[in-house]
Amino acid sequence: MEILQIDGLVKHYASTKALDNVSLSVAKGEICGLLGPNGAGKTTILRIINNLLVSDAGSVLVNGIPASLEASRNIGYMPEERGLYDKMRVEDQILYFGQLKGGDKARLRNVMGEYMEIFNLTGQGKRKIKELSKGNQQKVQIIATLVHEPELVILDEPFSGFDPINGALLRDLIARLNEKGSTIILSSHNMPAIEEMCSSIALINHGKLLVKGDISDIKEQHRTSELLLTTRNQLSIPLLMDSSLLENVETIPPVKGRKGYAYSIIKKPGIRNTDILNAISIQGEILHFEEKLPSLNDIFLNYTTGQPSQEKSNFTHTSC
Amino acid sequence: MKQLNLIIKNEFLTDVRSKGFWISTIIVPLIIIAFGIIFGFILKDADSFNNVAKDLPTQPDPEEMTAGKAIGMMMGSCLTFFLMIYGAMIFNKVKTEKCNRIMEIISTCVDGKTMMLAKIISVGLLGLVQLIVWGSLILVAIIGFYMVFQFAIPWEILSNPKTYIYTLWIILYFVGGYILFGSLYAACGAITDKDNENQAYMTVITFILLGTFYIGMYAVDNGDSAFATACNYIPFTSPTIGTINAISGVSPIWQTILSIIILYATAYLCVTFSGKLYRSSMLLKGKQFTPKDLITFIKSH
Repeated sequence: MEILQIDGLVKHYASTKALDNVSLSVAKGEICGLLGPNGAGKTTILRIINNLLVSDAGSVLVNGIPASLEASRNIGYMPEERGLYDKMRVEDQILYFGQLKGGDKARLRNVMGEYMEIFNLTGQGKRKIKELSKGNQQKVQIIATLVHEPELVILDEPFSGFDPINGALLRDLIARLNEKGSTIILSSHNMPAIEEMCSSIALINHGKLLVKGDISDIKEQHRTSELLLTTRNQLSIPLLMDSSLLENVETIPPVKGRKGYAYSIIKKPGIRNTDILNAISIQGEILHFEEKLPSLNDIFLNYTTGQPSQEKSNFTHTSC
Repeated sequence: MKQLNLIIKNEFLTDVRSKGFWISTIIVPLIIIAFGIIFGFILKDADSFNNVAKDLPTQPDPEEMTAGKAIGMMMGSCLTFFLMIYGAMIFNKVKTEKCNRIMEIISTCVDGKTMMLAKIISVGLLGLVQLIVWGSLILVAIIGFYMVFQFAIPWEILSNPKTYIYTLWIILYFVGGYILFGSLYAACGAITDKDNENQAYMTVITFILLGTFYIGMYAVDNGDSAFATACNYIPFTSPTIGTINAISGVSPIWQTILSIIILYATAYLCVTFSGKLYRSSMLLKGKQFTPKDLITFIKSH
């Protein structure tokens, strides 16, 4: 069941085409990462979903209802640029936003209490927003976004302004919301966080949707034939090449904290990892063997610039 | 309607709880009284002032200045100054929301027209509270004077049905004019976040208001002139001139009613337009407003 269905969205700003026939759907219970470089069109999509902008063509359905004020009541939207009333008290602010979204005051008060506890803001409710630190203001903004218990939560750069501890709190909260059945769209440049939390991603560039799907599927599509190997004793590279399983073998610096000899191997197409393992095990003891999968950062850079990442530390691995 | 009430309540309570509001409410009349006393003492001994004062008629000519005209002129002046003070407050509220980006959150659940109306009403209520405080102070002063000097109070004014009709005209013109100009101030606040541009738009509205004020002065003596009659129907001038003409009896009732209908219809359109501007203007952040943008705003939802 789709909670969000976007079909053929087109939007122009004067002569600039901000969105070019973008179609996208998000299933209920999904955590979807919306990725793209600055100016790609992410915010425009989010604003159209939230009924802040009208598209030139195409349609947006939220829970089957066309984007409207009514549909927006079921969305918790936190824009990239935050906005709170400086002179208002914390709890007044949260309840006000919740009530504007149609929430019941008694219920909102309960939910607000829960979130205040999660974010360690208990006892801060009577303070004015301007008296809080930037991080705490950010927490209030998130609570105000979630207090009416929306089915669809859209967070634009939610981690900005958070230290690692509060970032972890937010990640836990997002996971909890998802467990309770909320659908979450995260727009962020924080690739590790997206990779950790999202089940699917949508990548946008120059107003076009480049890829959308399950993260593991996308990674599978972008897998290379590169393997990383560490052995206790040194291997004979000519002997390995003679096995006709490999295209190339190179010695590389060993992984930090691990003894032995490290190799980067490019296998030939269609060759199974087990065959390679067998061929290597004849020569020496295998300490570590993994197939290198591209990180989200690599996939992002590959799509947006056509260049894979040079940061080796960003690669993720599936170990065997 | 629920949202309108909620926003009015929130905006009103936030302002009314602020120290600044009560400081200005208490201090402003004290400053006015203090200035009055100081200038009174200074002017008492000023020869040029005394010469001018001697030439002034001691009593107004009843043919030239009826009570209706005087009240009308007073209300017109009050509206002008009320709008200058509270219009600026509406302007600042909208501008603040544009600058701190709250409008992007609010606009997801509230339509622009409701938002604008709520702001105008909440500021109007704030003004009403101040007027009530000041009115109470004046009443206390009058009672004090009455107890000391025992002057006659014209109670018969309350038994005259015209008093209530005039009060109705005053309220209708005052509220209509306030909504109309209030929405223009709100539109100015939404148009741009650049101080110099805002100032330019504010100056335009201030000139319109001053123009209205001076035309009102002209209408006191020339209420039946073609110019004053035309201004009676122009919504930007009708709150002042309409009040003067309605109370002084220059305009027949049908003219007054027509003028009020035009005023409210224009006020409605202006609130709708400023609401569209409020929702659309978030796209203008950092960008200079151009007249071409108006078409985009009108076309937006």
